[in-house]
Amino acid sequence: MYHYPIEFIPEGKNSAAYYSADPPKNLVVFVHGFRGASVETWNDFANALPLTPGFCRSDIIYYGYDSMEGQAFDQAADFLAFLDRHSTPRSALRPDNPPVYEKIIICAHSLGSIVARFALLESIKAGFAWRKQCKLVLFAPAHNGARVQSLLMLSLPGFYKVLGSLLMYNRPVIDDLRPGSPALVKLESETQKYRDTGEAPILSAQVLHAFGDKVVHNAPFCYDTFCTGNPVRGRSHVSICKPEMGIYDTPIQIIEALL
Amino acid sequence: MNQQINDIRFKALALNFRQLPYIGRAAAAFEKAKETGELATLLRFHGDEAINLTEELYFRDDMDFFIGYYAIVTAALLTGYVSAPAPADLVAEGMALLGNEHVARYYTEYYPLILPQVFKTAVLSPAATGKDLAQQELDRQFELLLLLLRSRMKDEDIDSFLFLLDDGAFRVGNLGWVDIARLWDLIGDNRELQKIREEPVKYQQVLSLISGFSKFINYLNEYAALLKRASYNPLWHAVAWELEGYWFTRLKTKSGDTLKQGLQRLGELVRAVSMSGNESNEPLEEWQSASAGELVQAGESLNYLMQEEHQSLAQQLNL
Repeated sequence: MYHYPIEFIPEGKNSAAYYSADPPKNLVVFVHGFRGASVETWNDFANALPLTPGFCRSDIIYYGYDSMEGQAFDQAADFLAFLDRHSTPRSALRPDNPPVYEKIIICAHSLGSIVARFALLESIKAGFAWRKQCKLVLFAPAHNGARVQSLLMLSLPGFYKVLGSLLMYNRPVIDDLRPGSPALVKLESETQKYRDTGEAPILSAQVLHAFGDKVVHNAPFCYDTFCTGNPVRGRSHVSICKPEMGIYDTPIQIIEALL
Repeated sequence: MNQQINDIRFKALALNFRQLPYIGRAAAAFEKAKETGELATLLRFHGDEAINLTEELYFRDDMDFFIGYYAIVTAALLTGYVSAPAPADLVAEGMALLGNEHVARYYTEYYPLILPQVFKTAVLSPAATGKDLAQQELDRQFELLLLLLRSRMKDEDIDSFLFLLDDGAFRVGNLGWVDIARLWDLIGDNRELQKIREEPVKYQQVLSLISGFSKFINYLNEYAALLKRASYNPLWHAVAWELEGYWFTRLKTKSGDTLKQGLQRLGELVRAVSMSGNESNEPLEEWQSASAGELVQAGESLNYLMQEEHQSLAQQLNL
């Protein structure tokens, strides 16, 4: 057994953790996107990671939040509080929790990328020591903006897409996702500010884009790097972050390489 | 099963489902009601005397979750996720709760639930031996089932919608009383939805109900998919169905058809929506096609969950 049974944690919404049975070295945090769900957005990750030897010393947390509420920056503030609390191992099931993690890998999808990056920017301003352990992996990030109509009509998971697109236009977070919004302008300018500083490695994300993504704008952002040379074909905005064991293992391989 | 893993799993179940504020509240209220002799009244059948007082509603809600915890433990035992012996305090509390005559009448006569009825047998049964690969896969699915259940339990929008589905109604500003029929009218009319969209604060309750409807359908889709994945193991399958037996039974007797009416109204709306101005029609057409697919899947999930053969746990356990 590499990991303990699922442990629900109170922060966010339906956040769930799989803590390592052995003293952990790393924390891997997953942050879903617009109308996503803590675990379900990530599909086979929840099945695959507990069985993957490379993750045996990693605590895995699926962070959930109500992406319909508030603005992206508001969600980032909550996520920052969560990160600060969980930057030290704290499983209730594991008898001995070590004092620190060596690495904290934050994997985010779509809107979650904006939430995660804003949170890390604030962690720099706050001077949190744990920020130096962080690395970002972003799947179909929305940091260049989203085609809002497509976001609402095509990317909402499952049954949400039926009614969601008819009801969600007035949500503040939708404004945040429009190209050139104040939130995205601020995100870029604040990230650029740290380009040639010691904070750059924290904010320099590894990015995976879906070829022909119908929802977000694929383009370089600040000093991020692309995980694969080209956008991934055969995956969509929704499926780019969902590994399928034996068919599409790229997301798992990217994260495992960072551990 | 490795005893250490077994102990950890019992501990995880308690951490995730017993150590919740409303369960603690229920346990304390249960003890107090026993002392004051009010338990029979508080747990009466609603058909004999309506439940109107807020305190009574809260007590019964909390007790449902308290009994529900032991239903989850029973399910975990029956599916092999955990094995006896269970922790002594769990056994003692479970026996005291489920063995109480008024509680027992509540979940056997008034609102029949099978899992609490077999708790005693399950918790005293000999431990299962061995852990083959198939069982490991079922254990993973059981944890995903717990995640799914937990997401439904804590969701206020789903709660509000299920209240409506159970013949409840809310008073909403200038809309008056909104029951399930009125909700379907609202959902089926794009002009009404536009009003709601433009004044989200004023129509917050309605938005919550619509969100609850979406979430509940999504929940049923995921539950049906999970049951289908485990269909090769009839006992596991039956136990997993029984964990939501109350709602799934009501799907068959009443609310399934009500939900289908809602899906039908929604289908009409989806077909009728058109773009205005200079916006491209491509996303709209793709959305209409995808939404039609979702509506079909929702109907299939409902039909699957309503099938007669799902209600077979009693037969499998020879009850």
